[in-house]
Amino acid sequence: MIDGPDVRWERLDDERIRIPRHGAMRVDGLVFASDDLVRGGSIDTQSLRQVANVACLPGILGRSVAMPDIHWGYGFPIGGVAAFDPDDGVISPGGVGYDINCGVRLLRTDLSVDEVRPVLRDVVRAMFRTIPTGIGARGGVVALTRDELREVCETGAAFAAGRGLGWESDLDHVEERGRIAGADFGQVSAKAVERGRGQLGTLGSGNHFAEVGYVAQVDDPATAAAFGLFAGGVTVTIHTGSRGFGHQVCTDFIPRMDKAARAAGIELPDRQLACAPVGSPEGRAYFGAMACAANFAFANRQAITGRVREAFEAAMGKPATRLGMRVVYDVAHNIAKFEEHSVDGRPRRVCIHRKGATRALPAGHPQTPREYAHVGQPVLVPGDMGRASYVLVGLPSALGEAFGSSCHGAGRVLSRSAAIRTAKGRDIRREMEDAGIVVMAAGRETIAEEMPDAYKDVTQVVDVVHRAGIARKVALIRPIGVIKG
Amino acid sequence: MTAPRYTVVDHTGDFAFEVEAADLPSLVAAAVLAAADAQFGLESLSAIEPVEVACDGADPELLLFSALSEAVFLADARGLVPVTAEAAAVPGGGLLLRLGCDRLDPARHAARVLFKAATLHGLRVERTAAGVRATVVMDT
Repeated sequence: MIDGPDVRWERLDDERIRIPRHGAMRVDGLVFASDDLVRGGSIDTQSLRQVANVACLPGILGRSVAMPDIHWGYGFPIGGVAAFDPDDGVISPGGVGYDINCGVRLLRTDLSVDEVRPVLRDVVRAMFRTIPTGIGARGGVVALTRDELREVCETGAAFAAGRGLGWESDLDHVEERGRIAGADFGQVSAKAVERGRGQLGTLGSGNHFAEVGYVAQVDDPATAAAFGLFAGGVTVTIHTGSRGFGHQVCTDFIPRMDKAARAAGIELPDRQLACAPVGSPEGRAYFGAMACAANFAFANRQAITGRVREAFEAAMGKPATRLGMRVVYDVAHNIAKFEEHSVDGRPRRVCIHRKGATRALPAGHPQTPREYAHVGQPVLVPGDMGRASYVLVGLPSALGEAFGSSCHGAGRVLSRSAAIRTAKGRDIRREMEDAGIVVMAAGRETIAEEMPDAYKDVTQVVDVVHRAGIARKVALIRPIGVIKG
Repeated sequence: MTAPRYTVVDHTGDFAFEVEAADLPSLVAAAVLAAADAQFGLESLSAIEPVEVACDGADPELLLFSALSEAVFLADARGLVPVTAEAAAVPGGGLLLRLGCDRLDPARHAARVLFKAATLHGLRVERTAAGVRATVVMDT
């Protein structure tokens, strides 16, 4: 493993850094990064070392990849992408993260920002009232029975859509149609069941949010039109995941995988890299439980979608169908799953890990939704609550260089305590209001912790993937109303 | 045990703290209380509900991870936050954690930060002249 003070790397071009195979690395590392991000300190040696450490794991294929929003994670870097041979490779909870299938969903509407501004506070208030936020928040749908939770785990987004919290057509625009195959509820612990039963339809805490925004800039009119986006059009972005359910699944499996890695003779520089062979009993058990949590997360974003539509219906006095509140897309950014990719020129089934990275498929790919087949899959990249988010579209180079992946967000630059120190003496809520953004949050210090200054400028991140040719800018969305945990 | 000695360590993404105690059971108890204090402030809580938790792990780090994971579970699933904690070694391995918990009430308790999971990230229980020390990273 690469545990020295320095990891060797070289710049390939303005957007790419290569970490050549050295030490125990089995493959090269490839990091999409500009000089601005490196010089600005957004990308540090610790993160690059984590890319190298992932490259040391058994059965890794192609290269260990990281996106420009890379930052130091637990074991795997956040922003990391790695594919493993299903026969000889490993699966790792650290390659997925605690919040299994944390992801982003984007809704579009027929409404213009001028139509929504007069009722914005009502919309945000209704969302805050009906979408529980904060830790332990419960009651988004109803407390699920164990059998209902099993159904959530096995059917994903379709469960919520079937309970009046969505439309059948929503599923066409969700990664994997909102359900990952292979869920095994028998691998889910009693503790995870207890945490999950009351949390469907809840937002959670930390950096999770639901945000009303509008399309402030269109970079690619044809693709934007295909996605249903137009200048000035109101959107809603939902960022959340599998809540305590997914965290408990990850917590349960880390000690098991730690033991399995030792048994398999896998040397780990960080125990959070705990892993097991994909086909081992521990590997199969983790995948089955993780798929349950992934499907819970798809159902969670679907349930919240239902609540968002209700908030708009109440404020606008029209049914959501007449407001054109369609799902543009829903992507996972913490996931492990099986996908087909070309490795060394040959098509292979791989166990892909994306931890803080978004799937990005080009036009014509069979997994791209039918309506988007001529343009490619939407790639949703949220920024901070004060600046902007981006809609991108996947390009062929993403498949060739990054296993069909792109960046997922901005990434923090200030710790929470540093953000609170920075906010001292300032009224962040007032600053947001002055900028035309209504913010409601459950936590006392959430608004200060999540202030825009605490995050990298997402534009710097998006510019790298755009110039590298793995995803292209389609539209920029500015926030006007935010609810947070 | 009350008033754990701990120090918050700056961490960009999540929340880290360093905790010290005379021995491993005391360290585990102190870490559980430090986590409660960091989130809710022990001064706002009163011990009203006794809870016993069995913690296991093949080494000190896994024992500490187990105890902190139990504390996260109690808060998230049952709304219980420890205000007092005592840990005792169990014959054959593991620890028994005896907690006095308060029940979270949004009217009385406001969270400063919320922990969703304990991590093994860089976790090491080290011997010191005064006993043992660990730096813990909690996922937020």
